[in-house]
Amino acid sequence: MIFNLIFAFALVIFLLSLWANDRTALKPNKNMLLGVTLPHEKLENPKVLEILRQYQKNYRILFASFIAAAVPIFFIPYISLVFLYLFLWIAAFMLANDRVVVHHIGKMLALKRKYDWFLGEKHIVLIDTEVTRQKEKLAVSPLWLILPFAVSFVPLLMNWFQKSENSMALSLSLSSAACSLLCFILHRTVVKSGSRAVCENTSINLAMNSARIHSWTLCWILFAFVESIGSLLLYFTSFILDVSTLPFAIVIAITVLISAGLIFGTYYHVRQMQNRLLSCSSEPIIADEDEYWAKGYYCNPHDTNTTIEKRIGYGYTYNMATAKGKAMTYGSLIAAAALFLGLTALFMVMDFTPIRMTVDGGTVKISAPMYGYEFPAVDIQSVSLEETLPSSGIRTNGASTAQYDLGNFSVPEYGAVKAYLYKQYPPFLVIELPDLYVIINSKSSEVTQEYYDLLMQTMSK
Amino acid sequence: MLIRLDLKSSLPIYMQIRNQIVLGIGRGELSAGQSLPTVRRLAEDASVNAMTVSKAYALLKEEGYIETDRRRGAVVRPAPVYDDGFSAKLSDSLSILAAEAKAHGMKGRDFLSFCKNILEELGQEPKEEQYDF
Repeated sequence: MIFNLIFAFALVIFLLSLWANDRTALKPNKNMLLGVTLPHEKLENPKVLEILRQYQKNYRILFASFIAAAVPIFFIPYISLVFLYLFLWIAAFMLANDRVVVHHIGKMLALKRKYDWFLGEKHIVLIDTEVTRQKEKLAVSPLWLILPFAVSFVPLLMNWFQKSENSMALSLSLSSAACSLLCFILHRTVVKSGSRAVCENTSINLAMNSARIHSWTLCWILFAFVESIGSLLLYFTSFILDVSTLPFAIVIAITVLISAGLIFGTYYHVRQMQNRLLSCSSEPIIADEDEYWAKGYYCNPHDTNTTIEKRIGYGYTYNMATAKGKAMTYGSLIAAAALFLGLTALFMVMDFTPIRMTVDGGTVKISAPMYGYEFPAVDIQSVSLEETLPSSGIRTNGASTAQYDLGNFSVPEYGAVKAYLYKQYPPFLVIELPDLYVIINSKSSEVTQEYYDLLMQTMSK
Repeated sequence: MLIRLDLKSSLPIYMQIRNQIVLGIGRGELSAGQSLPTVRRLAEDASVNAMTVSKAYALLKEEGYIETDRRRGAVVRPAPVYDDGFSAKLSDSLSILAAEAKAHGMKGRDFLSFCKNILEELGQEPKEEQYDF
């Protein structure tokens, strides 16, 4: 149940972000529709609107089909198979979505070519020396990042001063410090990314770049602040509340929501400001780089910049004509695939490796994926067969799915428990050891009975 | 001012940067004492190697158009002295251009009218006179 909820949440987030991403192509941005630059007066052209209508219709069909294809995820009993299905579903969805977008970009470019709507010269790089010169001054100082970076270490320092053993301090401090460093890299990327002139007017070029550089550098600094304060709150919460409780999740959720709000807010603010500035300018956009975007991604061999702002969707993308851009794109795709397939393999082992109990000499051996256990038979204090499981328990280190509980749990009735349970198949064999309980069963009640008999025999020897 | 680089031109990028800055000075878009972007920043924005920009700046410095100030970086110099050396260089360049124009069948009048228009664009209109080859 909990896994289904997590998957549902992940699916909704994925669908919403892809939907929002696709919709950005429909709104004119810097005179671009579907990532294709058009003359301002052609943005409302009936032929252009027809292509947009087709695009909208096609991606709606795509979304409807993939939402329908997602339904089986909630009925697959094994978590490993759910992971595999989810991986294939996401990969197919992204590929199909990409095809739809690229197909319509192609149509728009063909229309543009047919009516010769080209703006300005191709292969021309335009630089406004004043923008390039003042770029650094347009950014909010990166020194502000020292503050969230320092705050990151508060949990660790408090632990040290109070000689406390709070295990979360180290991971919270490190992750928060890493986030501040990441924000510093993003800050530098914003400042370093190529600032091109969009018209002949220096004041407009300056204002356009000021909107982008100032807003985004401010965004990454605030992002680092939000994250470090979030970590600090988590640290204080961890003293009063258990990690698995709701308030803890709420602190995380609020931090994530504020961070996401910051990014989306900045994105809309910058886009709005830039479009307003461009509409004020009577001079045209003088560089036409559409052909470098024709494949749906940016590939410009004349540009040594690795990153560039996306034309469709949010954030930045890589220049696939550079070795670094290629490495980053393929690297992240491979890393994502490896993570997904690795988790699938791990869960496959958990889902399908049978759990068995044997007695070898005086030792009881439980073979199970990852959480195998052995104990001397003489340690057994009592053995009983139960028809029901304790109603509540907290997983401390293990796996818990709708089918099975595997690993270490903390259960109010028993204390520490090592569980090897197929939840739907009673009875359950409860073995009491000096400082913990082992609860085990098999999918067949006869086998569970055999385990019980075997232990009784061993104990009576 | 705007620097316009043609990535497919046969003219090397460093020469294009040099020419564009000289044009900017000639047109009055860059005035004496005005700072230019740093080599690194200009290279980033133009998507070219820093060495290319550095070469262009070195050339501009050698020709007396800019000077490097420790505090302000590359700065446009006050108008360099118009001396014999420059006259000779200008004469050489103009001779070749005039010869090319003549080889293309261009009349002296047209050639001069061309020069006049260009000077007008730069804001330095010459006196009205009649010329002929």
